[in-house]
Amino acid sequence: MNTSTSALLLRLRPIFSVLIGLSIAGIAMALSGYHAMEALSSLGSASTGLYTGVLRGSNDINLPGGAHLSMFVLAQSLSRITPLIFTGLSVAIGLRAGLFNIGCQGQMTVGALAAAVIGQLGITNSSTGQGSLPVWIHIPITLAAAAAAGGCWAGFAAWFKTKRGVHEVLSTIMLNYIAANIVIYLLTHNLKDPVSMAAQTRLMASSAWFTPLVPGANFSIGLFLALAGVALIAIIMNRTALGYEIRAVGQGTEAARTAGLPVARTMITAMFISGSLSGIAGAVEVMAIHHRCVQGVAGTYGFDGIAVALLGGLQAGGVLFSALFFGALSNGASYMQMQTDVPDSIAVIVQSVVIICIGIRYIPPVKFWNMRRSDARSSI
Amino acid sequence: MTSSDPESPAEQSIFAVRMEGISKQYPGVLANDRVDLKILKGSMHAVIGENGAGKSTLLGILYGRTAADSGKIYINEIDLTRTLKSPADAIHAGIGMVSQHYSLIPALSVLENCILGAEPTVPGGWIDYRRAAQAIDLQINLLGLKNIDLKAPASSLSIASQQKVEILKALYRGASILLLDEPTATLAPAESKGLFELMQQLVTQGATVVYITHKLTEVMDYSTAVTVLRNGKSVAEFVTGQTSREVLLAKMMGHTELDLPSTQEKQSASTSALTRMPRTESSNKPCLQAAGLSAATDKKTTAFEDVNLEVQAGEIVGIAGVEGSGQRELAEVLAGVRRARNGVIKIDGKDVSRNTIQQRIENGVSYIPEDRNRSGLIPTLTVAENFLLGSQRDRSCGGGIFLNKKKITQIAESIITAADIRTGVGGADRKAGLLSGGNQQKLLAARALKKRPKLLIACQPTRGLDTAAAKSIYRRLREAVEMGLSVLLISSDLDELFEISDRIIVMFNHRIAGEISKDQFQLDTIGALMTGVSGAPLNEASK
Repeated sequence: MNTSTSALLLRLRPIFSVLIGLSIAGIAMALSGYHAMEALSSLGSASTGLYTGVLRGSNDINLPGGAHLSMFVLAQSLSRITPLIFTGLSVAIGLRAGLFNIGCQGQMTVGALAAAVIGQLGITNSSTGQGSLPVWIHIPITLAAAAAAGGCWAGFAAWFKTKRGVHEVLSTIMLNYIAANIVIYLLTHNLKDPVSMAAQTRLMASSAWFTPLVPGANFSIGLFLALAGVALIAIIMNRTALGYEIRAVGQGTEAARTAGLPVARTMITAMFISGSLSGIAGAVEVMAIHHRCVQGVAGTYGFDGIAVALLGGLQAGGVLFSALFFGALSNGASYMQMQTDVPDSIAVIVQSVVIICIGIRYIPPVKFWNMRRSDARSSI
Repeated sequence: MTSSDPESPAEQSIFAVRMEGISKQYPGVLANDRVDLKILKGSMHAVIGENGAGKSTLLGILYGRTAADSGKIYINEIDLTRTLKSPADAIHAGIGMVSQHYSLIPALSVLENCILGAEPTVPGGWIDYRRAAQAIDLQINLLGLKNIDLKAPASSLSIASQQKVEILKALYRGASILLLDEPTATLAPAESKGLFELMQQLVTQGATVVYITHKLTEVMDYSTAVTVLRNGKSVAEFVTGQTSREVLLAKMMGHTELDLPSTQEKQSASTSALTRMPRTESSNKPCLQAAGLSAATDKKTTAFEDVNLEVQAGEIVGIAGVEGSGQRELAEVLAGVRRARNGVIKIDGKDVSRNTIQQRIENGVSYIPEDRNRSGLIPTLTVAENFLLGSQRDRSCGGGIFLNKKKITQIAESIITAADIRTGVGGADRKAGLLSGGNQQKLLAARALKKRPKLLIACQPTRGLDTAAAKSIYRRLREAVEMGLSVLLISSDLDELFEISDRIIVMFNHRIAGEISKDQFQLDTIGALMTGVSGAPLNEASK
């Protein structure tokens, strides 16, 4: 096989992975006695209909079966994609530095908590959320607090790794549990909303809310914040010395160290950025949707971020597309369930298979040697 | 390739192993280049060569762990080229391996380790420990081994005992050909002796032993035949009794001036030696001073101790030594990559002992590491990005908070032209891992000299390169030296050391054994120091 063909195949791998994922999901449905083709086409048209609707700017999207999707549903779907973009970026930047951050869940949780606490500043009426701080101060400091909390939570794991050699997979996953339990404790004790039965913090001041862009829906400027995040990470990774250092450390730690790069500092910085992104994901959930920190605020976005990052090839732009794909998949699966009775957890099968297919790429020797053997000869 | 065939083997004599024309290409490195290896049945065969000569690759191929690109393998004169695909196949063919890194499972007992994967069972699938113990005991008695407790966990054993268990394990599986990869690398002298006596005993019982070493003593004292590898080629094959340390050393190091056949290849390298003005003694200004330096290896053993050396400005000082004498670690300590146990390092009179790598670079130290694909380059980054490594914050190199990509590419392209780096399609944007070894090395040298350092520490800068590529590196070094650069050259290539050094410091047994000035650059002088025959610290390893 010549090099350009194999390089092309490598690039197309995400698409193949998705196709394999859908096929296996189809087989699983067929084996369970569902009409696989019908379900898949329903899944497909619901997922794509979502975005073709966006592109046409129409308020109504036709789903198979004549059901109508209102702007509300579309907005709701986009709001679900927002945290996926953040956690996808978060995992991606960690992996670019050679660190597998699987603690986005925890970083998102502490970010949400920090946002909820800072969001209460200046509150004057605790039932309506009236506050005294100007929006242009309150929103930035709330976001900053969440970023700092998430960043420190992840940076901690990197610090352990560089100082004591603790593998980041172990420390970040353990920090997930610590974050979850600390937050549950605080939600039921010190930070509990006294007027509520539920384990949740007090209402935030409205000056720290993201107002809905579509009345009644959760869709907010959070999505645009995520898009800005994509652009910012793309610039950092490709245009700055820091991004270069992160890539160098991730792809050749020994060579980077030998050339005098501050390896430990770079790793900690990359993990801090990674954690900040997850922390902001938590903040956006709190600021746009709940207006307080609630139990389970992070959903499964933290772990979904791993799939998003891998399918997106660890590139910022790729993460955006992959978040749109997985978002559409999970939203589409809900509609598919309504239409065909096939459980929407079929989306989880697709997601898992995609991760496995992409994961094969991360067995480095296979990829690298096959690619190079033919090439090294031609260059001598 | 072979210079003197081992005693022209009689027609009926059987080779336990016959490998013909074995080649193995790794990215950028031709690890084995049409290697021939013939091992007589019942012999004790040493395979010697410097690090990177292709010894481990060759045995890995024989053991089925690595697939050769081409060549034929015969075991006991049966063609197994196609069937030898995994260690399991090799074990089936009667080959056993004791690897550099022991593969015992610490928590299991000696007995359990021995039978692992080949457990005798009684009906029902239970392990028949009694039968297993009897079989191993028999083997132990046959070899006269003492102090092997079958019930002890493997983790409680000394390294020497672990090795014996490895051997027992191989024999239990019916191995008649035993491969040992640097078996004495981590053993004390007395333990090494014990191991070789055990191996000799195995041979008297009909086994064939093949071992890799780079210690000449172990070849001369114990082997019956020896194959020398160099740069991936089999360059010589001797009956041990008919050769000498000096000849082997010359073959290993690729020295050409010795009156032996088949050494023509690199002749052109030394005949057209670039002439150079000898340094005047008056320019005595030390660029590097190191005093009382010592350091440990990764395995916490002594890498080198009590090293004192000086390099004057504009001087090229070579460091020679048999592999593992501490020269690589010395380079790493000077570059700041490895921590010194104690001692002082001064650059231009300034104490840099406590400096980080980055600070040393700022103080004018530059370093070409031995392992170019791991410590030197980042193969998955482009050529231009590899040039940038270490100066990504330097505005004059296109660095800074925001990178100036245009400038980075321009600088890379001008260096590519100046240093004659053949990148192939893609130029500066090609992935560095796709370059040939010679071009990678040129890239590293160019990067090391980019910042006009005061001292360059170069480790094996031309290992694996062809003559033309090596020449080009020498030329770059020489140009830089004319500008006042000092060079510390760590090399296992004596021709290279003789050609470009002003003087050579020889290390033996983790110490400096002596120093040779330019008028004494002869094989016997350096050979005596390298093998411990003459020089400061004599010990029992040098007989």
